[in-house]
Amino acid sequence: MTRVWMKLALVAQLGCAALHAQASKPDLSGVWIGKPRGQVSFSKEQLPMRLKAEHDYKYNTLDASNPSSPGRKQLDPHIINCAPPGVPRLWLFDRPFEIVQTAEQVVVYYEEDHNFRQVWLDGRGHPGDFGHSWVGHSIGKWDGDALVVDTVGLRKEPWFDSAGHMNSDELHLIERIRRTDRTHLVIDITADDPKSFRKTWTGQRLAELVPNGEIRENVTCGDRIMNEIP
Amino acid sequence: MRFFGLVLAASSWLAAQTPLKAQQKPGADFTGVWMTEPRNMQTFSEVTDVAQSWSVAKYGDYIKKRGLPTTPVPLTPWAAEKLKYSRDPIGGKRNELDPYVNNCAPPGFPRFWLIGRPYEVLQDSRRVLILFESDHWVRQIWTDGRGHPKTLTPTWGGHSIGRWEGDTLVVDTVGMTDKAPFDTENNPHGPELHVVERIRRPDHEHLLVEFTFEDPKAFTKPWKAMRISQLHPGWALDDVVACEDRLLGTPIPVTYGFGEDIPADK
Repeated sequence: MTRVWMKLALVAQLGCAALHAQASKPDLSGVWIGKPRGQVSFSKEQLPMRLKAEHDYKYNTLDASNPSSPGRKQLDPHIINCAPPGVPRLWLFDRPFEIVQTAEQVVVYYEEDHNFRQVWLDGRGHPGDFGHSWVGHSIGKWDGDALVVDTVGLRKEPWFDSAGHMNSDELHLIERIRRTDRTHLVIDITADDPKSFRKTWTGQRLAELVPNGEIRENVTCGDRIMNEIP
Repeated sequence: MRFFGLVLAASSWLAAQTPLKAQQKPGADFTGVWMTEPRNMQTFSEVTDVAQSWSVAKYGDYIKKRGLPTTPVPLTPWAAEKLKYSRDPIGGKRNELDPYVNNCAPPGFPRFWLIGRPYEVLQDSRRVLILFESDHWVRQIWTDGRGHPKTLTPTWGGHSIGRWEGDTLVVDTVGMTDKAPFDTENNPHGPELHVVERIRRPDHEHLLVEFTFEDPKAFTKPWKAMRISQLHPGWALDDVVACEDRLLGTPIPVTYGFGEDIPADK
């Protein structure tokens, strides 16, 4: 008799666990740090740039160590202008980011320049009148174990990545974020930008969990600002 | 007997599986998008009886009839001199003007509360998170029982810890850099500014923050002020960057490229 009860309890337990797994969303929450350190581009391949994008890229990277080079004027707006790094470049910094999940949204809080993105999961679409911003407008949905983020409305001014590639204001970005195991995250990006790229291309950024990690305060050009203020 | 043991085990297992929402959110629920009212203020308004016995009608009537009078900040002679200096628009003293405008610095805490832009509150088991539209600032108030670190490098936001007293969140903040002015009026503060905020929801639609400010260098005595916010369901925060107009007016790359016109390729 006891065995029958135990079997029944086991079946009930397994059933409940299966239901629980089905009902619960993947958990991406935690503090993460991108890997490898010093990654500047999402792809090891040359990006399929259109002529204008290629010229801008060459100009941005032209003889960067020479202070009198014309390329100097075109150097990184995140450093020269203290501008926000923008999306998707925010993934490429050697500073941690935190993923916070609620039922309605996923917040990605990047330490770099204290930027946050709100990814809406409540079924809303992109607003028709959004315009452009440094982090754009993001909506997301769960696809199996992956969070698929669809972003539009990104400014053309920030660099696309830390290598100096440029996107236009028509960039449409898809990010697939999934946890390959407890401590590893993969961010696959798909970039579609008919003004800058000849075709849609894909790239990747990896990240590692920072157990008990916390995001600290970071301000772009923070040292410069502190020194400027008497 | 065995049967009861099994039932007990099963019920404790079931209890462990239940995602207890209440456990995750102690105290009150402040989640949502809020906007301070009146929106922009130069400095903090005085604590009134509105805060003591709350009603929306009373508050509306109060603003309509009297406006929200700001509190005279009890400045020490050092602070009064610094304020006078920073307001002098002549000569070399111009560089003493507002670092938020002049240096594109973050507004800093507690000035964030004076800027008329919405903010969103999120809560989890260890923290209350406030996302500010202004300067896309993020404030973390730790509610997991930790104290302030023994050594703190001054920052724009300082270090905030909170505890629940019933439905009131009591927040203690230290470690703000004295490079940031205390408020939009440009009153200064010293490195030992200590702010206690009592945050509660007097009704569903409103969030009330009662402040106690203490600063031995800048204020002659501890003093109290308040700030009220209204709930805005359906609002979403925008992305606002300090000095954005100036940023976009300076030569950020993209429109150049060797000074040539690059023909569009097919």
